[in-house]
Amino acid sequence: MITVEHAVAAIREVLAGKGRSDVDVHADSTLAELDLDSLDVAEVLIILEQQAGTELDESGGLRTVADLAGLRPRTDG
Amino acid sequence: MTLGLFTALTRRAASAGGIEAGGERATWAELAERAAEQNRRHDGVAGRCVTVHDGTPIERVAALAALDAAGAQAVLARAGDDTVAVTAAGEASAVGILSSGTTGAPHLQTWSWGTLVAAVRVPAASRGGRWVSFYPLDTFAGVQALLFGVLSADELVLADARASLATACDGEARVVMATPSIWRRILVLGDGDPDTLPRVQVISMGGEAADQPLLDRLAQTFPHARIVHVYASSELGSVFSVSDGRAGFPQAWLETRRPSGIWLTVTDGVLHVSRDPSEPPIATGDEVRLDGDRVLFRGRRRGVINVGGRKVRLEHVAAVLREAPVVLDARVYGIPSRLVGSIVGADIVLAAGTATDAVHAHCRARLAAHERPRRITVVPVLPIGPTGKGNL
Repeated sequence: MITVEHAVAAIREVLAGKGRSDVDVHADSTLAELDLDSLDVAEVLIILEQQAGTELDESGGLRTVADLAGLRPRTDG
Repeated sequence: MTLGLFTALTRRAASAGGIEAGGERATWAELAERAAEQNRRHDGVAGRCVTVHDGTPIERVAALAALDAAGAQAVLARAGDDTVAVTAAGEASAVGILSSGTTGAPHLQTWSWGTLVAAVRVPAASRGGRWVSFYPLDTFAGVQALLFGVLSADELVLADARASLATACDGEARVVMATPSIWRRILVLGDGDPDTLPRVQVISMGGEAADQPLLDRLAQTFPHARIVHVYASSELGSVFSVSDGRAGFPQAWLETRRPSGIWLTVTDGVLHVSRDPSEPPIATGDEVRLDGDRVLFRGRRRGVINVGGRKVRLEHVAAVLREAPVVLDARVYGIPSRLVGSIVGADIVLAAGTATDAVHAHCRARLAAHERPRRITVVPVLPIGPTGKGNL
C-alpha cells in the first residue's frame, strides 16, 4: 500500500538527486509545480514499485502527490 | 613440427618453475608428462572436436596440451553453456574458444595452436619471473595469457578473478594480466595498500576499454609499472596494444597496418578491422570518437538504451561516473520503465567516508538529464562476470 508519506519521500529523493533538497512537498502538490518532468516521474514510480515489490497501475493518470499515494498494483499482469 | 601448446610445454620440461592454479601446482616437467600420458590414451581423435570443461585449471591445461599433441581440436566450453553446437569434425591441433558475446551472441571461434603461439611476442626484459593471469582460462584472453606464460614465465599463476593480487603475486610479479574490471576491483579491494603492494613490472589489460581514470589510478598505485592495454577479441585475435598511459589509441594508427598485420578504419563511428585493406572490413561493434590526436572508445554498439526517446550510451555514463573523484568503480544499466522506456541505474563503489551527494552533483554537471543515473546504489564491490568482464 503506497501512502502519502511514501510518495513524499520518493519525490524528495528524486529532488535531492537534482540538487533540490529544500522543496516543500505535500499531498496537494502537483507534479508540475514541483517541476518534475517525465523522467523524474518515471524515477518516482520505480522507487515506489521497488518499495511495494510490485508494478503499480498509473493508467489513471498522475497529476498530484496524492495520485501517487493512491496507486494500486497492476492487475493486467 | 609446428610449435603448439604441447611442444611449448615439452620444451619447458627441463626448466625450473611451473604453473600454480586453484591451490594446485605443477612443474613444467610434471605438466608435460601429464599431457604426454593423456596423449598416449587418445586414440582416433585427430581432426575431431573434444570438449574440455571439467577438471582443475591445471588438469585443463594438461588436457589442452594432450589434445594438441593428438591432433584434435579442443573446445573450451563454459560449464553449463550448451548454446553453441560443437560438431564432431574439427580442425587439427586447434582450440575452440567461445566469444564472450560482446560482439553479439557467443559463438565458437577456432584457432590453431601454431597461429596463437606465433602471435606471442615478449620483450626480453619481460621474460622470466612470475606472471599472473586473472583471465578465465576459457576465454581468448585466458588462452593467450596461458601461452604467454608457458613461453615466457618461470612461474605462471592462473588466478581466480576474485583472488587477491598480493596472494597471486606473492610479493613480486613480472607481468599481471587482467580485464579493466578486475583491475578496478583490485584497486577497490585495497590491494593498493602500499604495505602489501606487490612489485609489478608490467600491468596488462584487455577485453574492455581502459578509461583514463583507471589508467591514472594504476599509474599512481604502481608508479614503476609499464601499463599496457591490449585490444583483442576472440574473433580477431590481438589487434594492437597501447602503453602511453592514455585512453584510446593514436589517431595516426588509422588507415595503417599495425604490427599485428591488421588495418584499422572507422566507419559510421565504429572501429573496423581487416587483415588487408582490399578486404571488406569487419565491424568490431566498438563505437569510437575522434578527439584531438586520439581515437577514444565510447562503448559497445549494443550498450545503448532508450530513455524517453533518446539514446544513452551506458559505457559513456559509466566512464563519467568513474571520473568522479569519490567513485572507485561503477556499473551502469537500464531500468525498464513503462513511462519512458528505461531510466539509467548505476551501482557504484564509493571512496571511504564519502556520500552519493557528490556523485549526483558530478552527474548533473557532466550528463544530460536523460543520461543521468536516476537510481544509484552503493555497493562494496562490483561483480565480475564469468569472462572477467564487468559492465555490459
